Amino acid sequence: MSENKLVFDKPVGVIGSGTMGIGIAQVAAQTGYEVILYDINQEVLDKAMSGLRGRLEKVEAKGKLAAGETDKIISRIRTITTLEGFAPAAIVVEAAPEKLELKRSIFQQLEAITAPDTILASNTSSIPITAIAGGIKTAERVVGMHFFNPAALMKLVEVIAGIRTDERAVELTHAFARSLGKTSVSCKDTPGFIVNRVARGFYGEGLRLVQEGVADIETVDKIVRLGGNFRMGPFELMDLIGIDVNLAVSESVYRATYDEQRYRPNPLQERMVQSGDHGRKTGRGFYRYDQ
Amino acid sequence: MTNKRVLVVGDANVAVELLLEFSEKGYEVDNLLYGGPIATWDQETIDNFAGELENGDLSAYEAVFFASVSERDVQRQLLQALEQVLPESTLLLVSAMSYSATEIASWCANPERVIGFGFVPPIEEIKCLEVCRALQSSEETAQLATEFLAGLEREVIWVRDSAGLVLPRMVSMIINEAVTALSEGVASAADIDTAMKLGTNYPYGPLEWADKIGLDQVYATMRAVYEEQGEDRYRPAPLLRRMVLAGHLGEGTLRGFYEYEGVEE
Repeated sequence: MSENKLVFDKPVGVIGSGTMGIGIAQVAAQTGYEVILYDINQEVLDKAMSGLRGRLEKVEAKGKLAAGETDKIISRIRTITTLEGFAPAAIVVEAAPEKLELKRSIFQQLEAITAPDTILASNTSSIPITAIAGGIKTAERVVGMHFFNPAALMKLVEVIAGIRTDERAVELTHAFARSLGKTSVSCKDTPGFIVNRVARGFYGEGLRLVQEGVADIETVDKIVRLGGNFRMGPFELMDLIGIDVNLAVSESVYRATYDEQRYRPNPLQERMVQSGDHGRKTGRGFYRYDQ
Repeated sequence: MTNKRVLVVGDANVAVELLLEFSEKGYEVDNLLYGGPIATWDQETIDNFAGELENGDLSAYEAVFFASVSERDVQRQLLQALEQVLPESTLLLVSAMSYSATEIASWCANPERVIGFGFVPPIEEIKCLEVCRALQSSEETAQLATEFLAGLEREVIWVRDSAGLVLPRMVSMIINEAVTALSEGVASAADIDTAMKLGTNYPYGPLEWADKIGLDQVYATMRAVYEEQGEDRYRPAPLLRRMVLAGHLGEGTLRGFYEYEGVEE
């Protein structure tokens, strides 16, 4: 993994130490980049870093990581609690909560703090890159860099150009993604980008088929696995992702397209969310995991 | 091995797949397949087709499979020609991927022997077959179908009749969305396929899958679901329809969303 040529000799910044942020920091550090990881307080950062250390040590114990590699990776990640620490960064990847005002505020601050040629990337899955860039003067360096969960394992990165994003920002983001061992694809700034949009039918039709009584949940999943060679059926996958998380994506794409019928969320899914059965993480979803 | 005799009739790519699969699994299989692009069906070709049926002896077949991606009127004429020479107790399995089994049965003189089926190519990679009873189907017919299909060594899963059944409808919806995104210029065909394979672990990218299934089949399924459900969400992508009209049906015509070896310009 670390045989890839680095495209930046300056550090890589990551904003947010949640699931996506720490995953992006990990894959960058594992590739050999110096990483600067930001979150709002040191306690959150320490918890994320000790979690990462624990996961890496397990992998190292299994022999899937060279001896001593955990320490090396961890030592490449420096934590900060003020955005000023991003001054030396070549690229900053923002993985903060999905709130437009928060992201705009972060990007405005980054614009003042970083060098003019620093790439400002957002890992957003549901907010238009153009909307985030709309708040700053140098919108040409704002780009979407959408990783998939878990970021350390999933090979795909969607690179999204907003209306004002320039070719240099897009090209450098592709090159950076490739240096991380990822496969990157280019995508216009449209709701759901590629994956979250094209995949909607997988869940939406699964729900509709059950609602119409064509087949029950177990039968739909089985047909999808045996007949389509998908690894999981739509209900198994919604339970894994979190039914609440999946509904939020559907609602976001639906709203962002001004109520395009193809993306209309299903009441059956909303009932599940209201019931509190959100999937594996709550022990119960379309299936039971608590027995 | 089995000695079951089967006849495969129609104009769909899935009919060709079934033919090869029956042969592979040791069925004694004959076929009456129309090879030309579906748009070229006219009264003359329909009459010729009917004439060929009349010249054959259909009494020896245990089952007849009918799979067409053509429009209602063509399918109805072909089936009526078939039924005129087919003994009335012979099992008739029809593709429920372009119209519901119930609608197809409604065109038949003996609707109680009609069973619907569906699957998404390539057939050699799948481990189950979907089947459904038309509302008119008899219980006995369903049992006969289960017994007959056992020789294909795949799980036979019964679902309720609905145009497109489960997987063909779901996969067609995903493809239709990918075609819409492609026509809107959201991303290239190759990037859409790569994203779906790597971002969500799909077995095939939706556009390369469409090329394998046949765009005429995907379009027929979308059209059928759209008609039956009457909802805008099922509207076939205009680009999909145009590609079918142009005869760019996928691997079978060496040209679909991708080009394949041997394409002549």
